[in-house]
Order: sequence, then structure tokens, then C-alpha cells
Amino acid sequence: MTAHPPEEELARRLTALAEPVRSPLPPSEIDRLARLGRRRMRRTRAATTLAVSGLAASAVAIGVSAAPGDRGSSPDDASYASDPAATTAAPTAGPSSGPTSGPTSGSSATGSCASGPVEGRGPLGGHGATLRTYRDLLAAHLDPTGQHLAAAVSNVQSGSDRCGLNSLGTKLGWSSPTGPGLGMVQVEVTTGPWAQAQVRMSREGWQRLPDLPTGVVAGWASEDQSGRAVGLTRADGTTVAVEVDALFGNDSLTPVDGIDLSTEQLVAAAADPGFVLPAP
Amino acid sequence: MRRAEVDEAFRSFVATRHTRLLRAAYLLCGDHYLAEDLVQTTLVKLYAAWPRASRADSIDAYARRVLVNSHRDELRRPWRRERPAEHLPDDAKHGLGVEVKVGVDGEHDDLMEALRRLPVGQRRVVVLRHYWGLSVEETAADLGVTTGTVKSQTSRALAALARVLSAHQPASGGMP
Repeated sequence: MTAHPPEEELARRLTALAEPVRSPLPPSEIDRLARLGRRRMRRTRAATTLAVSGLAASAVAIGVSAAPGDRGSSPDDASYASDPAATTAAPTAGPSSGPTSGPTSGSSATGSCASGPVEGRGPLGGHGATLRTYRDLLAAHLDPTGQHLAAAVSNVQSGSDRCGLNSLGTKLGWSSPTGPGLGMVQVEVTTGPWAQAQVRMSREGWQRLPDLPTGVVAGWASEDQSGRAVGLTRADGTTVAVEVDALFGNDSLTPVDGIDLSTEQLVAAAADPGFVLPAP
Repeated sequence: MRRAEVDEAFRSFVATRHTRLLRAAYLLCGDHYLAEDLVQTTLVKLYAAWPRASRADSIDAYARRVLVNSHRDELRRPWRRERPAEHLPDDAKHGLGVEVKVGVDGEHDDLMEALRRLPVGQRRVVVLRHYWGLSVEETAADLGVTTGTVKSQTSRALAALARVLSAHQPASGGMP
């Protein structure tokens, strides 16, 4: 096919326009992308396995066993094992499901973090007071009338690195007084990289937020048919992520109606300075 | 396919294709930061699908389609949804307040602004055909549309870009 002059000119101009765009990618960054790809692959396999088996209570165990080929001794394996995002998915339980396993169960798979400080003693990993504070902050921003958010905290999500706890959060039930179903609100406070945050890894389609609250240096949002989430990183490096989902996947088969929390509401909640990790 | 083989093939692909993917993403979205996010999303998806992608006719084509689809997904987000605007923001300073050293002269600014004014379907066709150099048939296959659609969108896009193309063209290279 012979290009017409305008098309040739357009091709030349597009090439010139894009030519200054470059962003050197060091080998370590390529390895990081590969790790993210492996994690995505595991999540897909785990989700498939969950759907088939109906064993909704042990995502971590299934995620690990679904990828036996990844249990080798390569450097990537080591870095994956030490990745907090790979260790924080403690079994979840809804507000009416009684005591839950704390981060201790996740810590058993932490590999390189095993020599770090022991986290997770007690029903809420020893973080009950902090998690109840998180719950109250969420309620103040997202459910001021107290009609929807579970009053009790019975779930803990945590992660650690060699320096100790670097991620803490919880999943709370969200119900409607007028209908069935159970939704979920999750909060995660982490000092680790945003790319490794549990909420970040559980969703796709993240977009940078154009307008940021005071004290926040970067923000992202994600939305799909079932829910939405935001992540805000403060100047001190702490990231707070808040996610809402119409279905509390591990605790209900029925989505809740009317969980119409906006991105702006989630941003306001995540920007609350009360979300901090407990002192070591 | 063993993991070591996938990793090696993936590293080789990224090392040689990253810049081109990034530039194409920039032309699609007009934002350097968003382009980096798009390419990262593309590469992560590509790695996860590598066994399937490597069985396709071309990994390049697979990556291209993932990139275009990722861009499409992003535009569906409510806060990303594109709306017609009479005056576009200064794109060189878009994002987190960090100036990106692209499109700094008037010629490039005009073309980028004209590109951003195109309907997104026409912009995709322009990038695939005139930046990536695909044929009408290849472009149609990538976008999942008919060749007739590609031709008509190309024609409309060229008409819309004619002014900015002719404005900076050398006098000897007259436009029809």
C-alpha cells in the first residue's frame, strides 16, 4: 500500500513527537514486573481453584499450592517469599463468624521474614486496639449513622518485613438494614511500597488521582462493577488504602445492595491522619 | 514452558520493546505518567499470559492489543472519562506537577493537542497505523473492527489533523 503524503507526514511527526519519551528500564525493574506477573498468574489460578472447589476460606494455601513450580530456589522465589503482599491474606471472617486467625498464620509463610519480630499474638494478632480505631475512623467517614458497618472487628490483615510489622488492616462487613447480602470494607495501612500493598494487588485499573488532600503526595483509585478502592501515600511514606466491595467474598454469596460509597468518600476516609501503624 | 524460559523470553522482550510501547502509550493517552502506568499494566498482563501469548502469531501483536485494551479500560473509569473541551490543559505539566520534557516546542504541542482532540477510536487508528506502521488489515485485527471502519476513521483523522500537519510542513512538501 502506498502512503499518501499526509500519511507520510503524520508518521514522521508522530515519530518525532514520541522520540523524546524514554524511561530506561533497569534489569531490576524488569524482574519486578515479572514478579507482578507471576502474582497475577497465581491470583488467577487461585480464583479459578476457589470457584471450582468452593473452598473459600484459604486463599493463601490455595495460591501457594496452585503454583508448585514457583517454589524453587531462584532469587525471584526468595523475593516473592519476603513480599508482604504474599503473606498478608490471612483467612477472613465476617463480623458474625467468631474469632479469626491472626497474622501468625500468614507469618508461617513469610520465609525471609521469619527471623523478624514476631507479630500476631491473640485473636487479632495483638492489634485489637489499633484495628478498632481503624474501624471507628472508617465508620466516622463512611457510615456516620451506624447502620451499615460491622461494629465488631474480627479480622486482621497484616504483613511484615525484616524490620517488623509494615502493614496492618482489617476487613469489615457492610450490611443493609433493609435487605440481605454482605458487602466488605477493607482498610490497609502500610509503610511498604504502594506496588506491594494488598489492596493494590487485589485490584486492577488503578488511576492516579488528580486532586489530592493536604498532606498526601500521591493517590490512586480503582473502580469496577463490584466496588472501588483508593490508596493515598502521605509525605512520611505511609500509605492508606480503603476498598469497598458489594460482596464480602469469603463470608457471603449475596452482594449487599446500596453500598454507594463514592471515591471522594473513600479518599476522605483514607486521608484521615488517625490511620497509623502501631508503635513497635 | 518452564519458568526460567518464560523469564528469559520476557526479559528479552521488555528490554527491546519497552521504549516503543511507552512511546505508543504516550501518543494514545498524552500523559507521560499515565503512559508508564499503562505499559507496566501491559507488561504484567503479558507476563501472566506469556504461555498463551507465545503461542499466538506474534507476541508483539499480543502486547499491542493488551496495551490498547488497557487504555480502553482506563478511559472507562469515571474520573478518566474523556469529555470534549474547548481548551485543553498544558499537557507538558500534567500529572504530579513534574514537568515532562516532551512536546516542548510549538510544533509538537500542536500535534499532541490535535491528537487529544480526536475521538479515541480515531486516535487508536492513527497510532496503530501511522506510528506503529500497521496495515489496514492488521489495525482492524488489533482493534477488532472491520477494515472499512479503519479506513473511514483514518480518513476522518487525517482530515482533522490536516491543519496542524500543513502548518509546520516545509514549503516544498505541499499538502494537497
